[in-house]
Amino acid sequence: MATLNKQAQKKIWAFFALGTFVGLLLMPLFLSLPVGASGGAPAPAASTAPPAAQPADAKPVEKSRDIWYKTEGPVIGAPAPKTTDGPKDYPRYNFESRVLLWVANQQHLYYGSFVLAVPIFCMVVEYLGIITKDKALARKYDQLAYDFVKISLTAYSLTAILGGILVFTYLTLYPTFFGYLASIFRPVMHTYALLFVAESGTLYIYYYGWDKMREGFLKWVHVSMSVILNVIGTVLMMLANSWIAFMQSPAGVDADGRYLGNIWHVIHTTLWNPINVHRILGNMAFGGGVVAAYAAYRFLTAKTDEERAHYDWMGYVAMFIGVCFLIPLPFAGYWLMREVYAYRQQMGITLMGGLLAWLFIIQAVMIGALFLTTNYYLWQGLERMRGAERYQKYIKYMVFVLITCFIVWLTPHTMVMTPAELKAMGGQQHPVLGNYGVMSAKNGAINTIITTTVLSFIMYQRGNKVPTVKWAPLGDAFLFGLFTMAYVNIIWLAVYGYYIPANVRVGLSVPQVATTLSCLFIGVTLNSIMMKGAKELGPTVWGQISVRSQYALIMLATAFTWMMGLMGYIRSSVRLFWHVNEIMRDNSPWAFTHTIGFAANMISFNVLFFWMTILFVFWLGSLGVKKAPAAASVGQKVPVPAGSH
Amino acid sequence: MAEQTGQISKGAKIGMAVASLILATAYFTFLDYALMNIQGLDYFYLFRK
Amino acid sequence: MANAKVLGGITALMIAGAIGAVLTILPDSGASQLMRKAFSLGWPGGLVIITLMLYFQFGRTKDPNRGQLVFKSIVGLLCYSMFFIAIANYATNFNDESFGAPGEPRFLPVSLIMITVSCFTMAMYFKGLRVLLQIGGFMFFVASCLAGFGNWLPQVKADPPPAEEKTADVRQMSVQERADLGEKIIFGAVGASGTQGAIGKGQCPLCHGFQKGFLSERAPNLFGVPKRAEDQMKDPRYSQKDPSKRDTVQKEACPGCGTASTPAEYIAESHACPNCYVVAGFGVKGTNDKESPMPAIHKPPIGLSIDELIAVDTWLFAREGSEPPTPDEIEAAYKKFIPESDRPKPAGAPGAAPAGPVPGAPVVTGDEPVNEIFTKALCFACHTIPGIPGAVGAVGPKLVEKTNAPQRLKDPAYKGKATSVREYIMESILTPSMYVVKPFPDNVMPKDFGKKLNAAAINKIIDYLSQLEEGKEPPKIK
Repeated sequence: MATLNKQAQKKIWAFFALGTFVGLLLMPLFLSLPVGASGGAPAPAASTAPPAAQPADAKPVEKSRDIWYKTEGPVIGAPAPKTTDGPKDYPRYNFESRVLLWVANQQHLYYGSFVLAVPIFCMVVEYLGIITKDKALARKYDQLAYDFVKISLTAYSLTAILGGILVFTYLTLYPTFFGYLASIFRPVMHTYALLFVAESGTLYIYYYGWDKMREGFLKWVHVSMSVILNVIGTVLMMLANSWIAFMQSPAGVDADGRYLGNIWHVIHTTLWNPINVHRILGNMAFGGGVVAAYAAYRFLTAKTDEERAHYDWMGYVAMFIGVCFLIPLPFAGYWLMREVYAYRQQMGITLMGGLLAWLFIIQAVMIGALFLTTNYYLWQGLERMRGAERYQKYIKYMVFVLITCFIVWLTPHTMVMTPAELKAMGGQQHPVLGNYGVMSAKNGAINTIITTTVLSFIMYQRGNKVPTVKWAPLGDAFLFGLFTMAYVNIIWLAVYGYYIPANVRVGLSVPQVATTLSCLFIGVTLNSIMMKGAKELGPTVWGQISVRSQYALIMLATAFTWMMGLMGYIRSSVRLFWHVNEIMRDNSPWAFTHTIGFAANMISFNVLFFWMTILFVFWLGSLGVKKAPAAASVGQKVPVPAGSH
Repeated sequence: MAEQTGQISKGAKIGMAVASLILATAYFTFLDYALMNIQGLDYFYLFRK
Repeated sequence: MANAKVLGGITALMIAGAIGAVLTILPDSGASQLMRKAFSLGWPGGLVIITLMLYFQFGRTKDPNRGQLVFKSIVGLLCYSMFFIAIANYATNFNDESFGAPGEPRFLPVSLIMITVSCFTMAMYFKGLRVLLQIGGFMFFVASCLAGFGNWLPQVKADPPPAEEKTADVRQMSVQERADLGEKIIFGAVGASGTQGAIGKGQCPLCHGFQKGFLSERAPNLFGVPKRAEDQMKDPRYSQKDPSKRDTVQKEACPGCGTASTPAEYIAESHACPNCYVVAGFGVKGTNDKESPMPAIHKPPIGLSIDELIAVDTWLFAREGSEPPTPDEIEAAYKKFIPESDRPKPAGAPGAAPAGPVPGAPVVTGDEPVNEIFTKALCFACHTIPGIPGAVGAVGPKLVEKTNAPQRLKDPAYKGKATSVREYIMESILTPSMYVVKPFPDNVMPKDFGKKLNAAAINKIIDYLSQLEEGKEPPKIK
């Protein structure tokens, strides 16, 4: 009892400390807000209680109307500059400035999102370590969290350096444009800088204080710090997002781009929140991928079985986190797309059916490939377990299902074709294959792929276990019924879609997705309950896994990175020839939209550049580690957390 | 997915499988109907027509 | 020792000479250019490797691993050369965005394959870095597949539309100049009409095909439209005699506007009122061709001015070799279908199309009686508003808001911020997408009423609509 009380007390103190911390750290933000908000406060009021007629005649303060929120506000900023091609607005080297900026931006983003994602895993894993009863396992979690933060620390300074390079690139190559953005976002940019200082401070205390704050109350303070770290990190990212969201869907300025004094409107543009959510999820998936690749690298270079076991486990956990966030990502993407359509239909069409549509085909192919790889990794994972041979025989059928669906999934609907090609095919759609190109078939295919992935995961969970709960046969029967009918339902809805009008058909995707999610949640939950206290046919031998599986992890990581580059490019290039959509035109020689091939080459370059540098970082890290902690991880004979998910 | 767990007779197993198939069918049909209904659409469009 | 050094020097000279000879003898082809470029980029590193090799061969005569070291240097040199040929290939082809002939080879991803090969080759011989090299090589391989896919797809490069030029007076131009301007507005550049994917301020090719056989899925292919217009007007669905017999959601461009009688008028009507007649098969999905997905061209987001429309229509005629109508004729055609209040201002507003009208100059002053506001703002075209003559539209919901608004505020799907009837109406006018009444589609109602209507006008609208009740007499208009 007494100990429990103490524990509770500790928690209360920890939360109190946490609150104070957050309060102090966010103070600059609150202090800066009223300054901006005071100008904007009357504006909403003006819209509900209509003001007198337009202040057309000369008045001391000129008023103008917000381009998005439609509120009126005092004109504070200068109009968006009209640039002309030349050294004044677009100074340059003998090279395409946009490409330089592209590289600087993408590298900063890769490192930035990695650095933002890893502390989130770190927080979760450290917390798991605290609440786990099993001492050895707890130590293992703690070590893992420490490993995570160690990787991110080197990357953190690189992020800052790359951020500096990015700002300099902007300042030197696009001075007028950057000046305009800076004039609008002045307080936000300063807040951003201050928060960055806070983030660095917290991160360093967090990392270097790890050993000092190992026990009891201090450990809770330590975990609380990881929460603060993530709060600051997320706010940082959201502030940075507000700039790109403003460029894509400006608000808070009038039609000439004059700032109207309400900083919140400028930050909170219509695409801001969808981008925030999409980016947080994307960062997590990406971070999982990078950590998995790190683990794969360490696994492949490992000298001892203990090391192999540790990094195999780490790779599995990281992959699991990555895929967990990959699954909701399409829904966040859907929201973003819907908001884009609501903002400007033309923009939506350019994305999905116009100039950039082919890039979405590439993306679709990549999503399919990611799921295939995930399945492959899980099947390879069965090798870790004695007793999992029972399931090997099902794999070939699953491969067949996955490949079939993958092919349907990547059948394009309509293509940009030359008249000759059009004639050869006898229409815009192929007489037979065209049937697989429509939404109905594609939705069916991708849902089947995800459901099969869930099935693979359930198979993996069961690998070496036989349920011992009394209702096991019933549970098995239920899982059988659930999955069978889920497949039937998904395919039925896909077929049904061909027979009903389009406006009803679009609605079918909702129950289809719900079917997949039902399998995911009901199936996995039920299976996990069944596997509680199950009889083990043999131990899970971490580290006993093929080298190929580690390449699957690397493939996942590379593909995540590539996809992130691709989607970033799509989001950015949909502005076409605008710096700030419909407000500030890009008059540089590089306002055109590159071909897909060029974009693919640039994305590849960025991906490879990132990976070469981060492999170098990993390699550096492994140099330092070689001596001491290797012994530490060898020393522990830990029970293997098979149910660690 | 069904596994050998001994003791239970084959008949009972088939019974359970059939029961869960029916249950799952009912659940998914309801899901389809309800989710279409929420969107203001008619799931049984083709049959009513 | 001295001998060895001399020998080394001679060997180095010979190697250098051999490389030089190969580079000069090579016929002047793409491959030799590539090798020369690779050499000019990478020679210092190559020199270092050769020096190392010579050092191993002649400087470490006693080292038992000498043979192996030399062999490794040779492997290293080969891989290094491959690496720089790959880089040279990347550098030479970097700005190649040719997409003229279909199936034209685009070799950039080949560089990635070459690097993959050299990574894996090195991994075989350099044990210390094996894993790093393999992982790197694998990543290059994955990237090369993806980049290869991207390069294999059809390539379209989109130029920005020409910067906002003051539209010169279309009436002063020659027919050809006028047609060129029209082509620019449609496709972004003169002569771009033959390229798929070319798109200009008017954004027409987003949906319409313009050449025979071009993809035109969302909207009719406009090839031959001036001639076809005659037949379309005879279509019973067009109902040239009596527009009220049309089956579309909007019967006329404006009350009393009537129907077209010449091809020029037909085109003008199609631009100003896409809903008036929908070519079979191109309606909004599920509406049975009663409603068109096309926005009215003179309104945002496209917002072409009448002068620009004159140019566009001239091009439509001229490119088929038919005599285009005079600017005055086309203008008259548009004036027939676009009411005075609704006519866009001549070009010259900042930004291209979607920037919208100049702020502070709403079409409606707010001083007019409420029925006139409804007419001027074109509410009547889509909505049924009891008490407003002519307002019998069915594109949007019937506006009996004293009845409707409280129900909608209670709807769980309602996500807006309004709490009262008045706020709800205000919100629906300013941000129509906040809550979309079923079964009407989103994004049909223009989102720019906030720009077009001033506060006084909106207030009047709210006053009126909030009094309307289902089944009751509408209030008197003051």
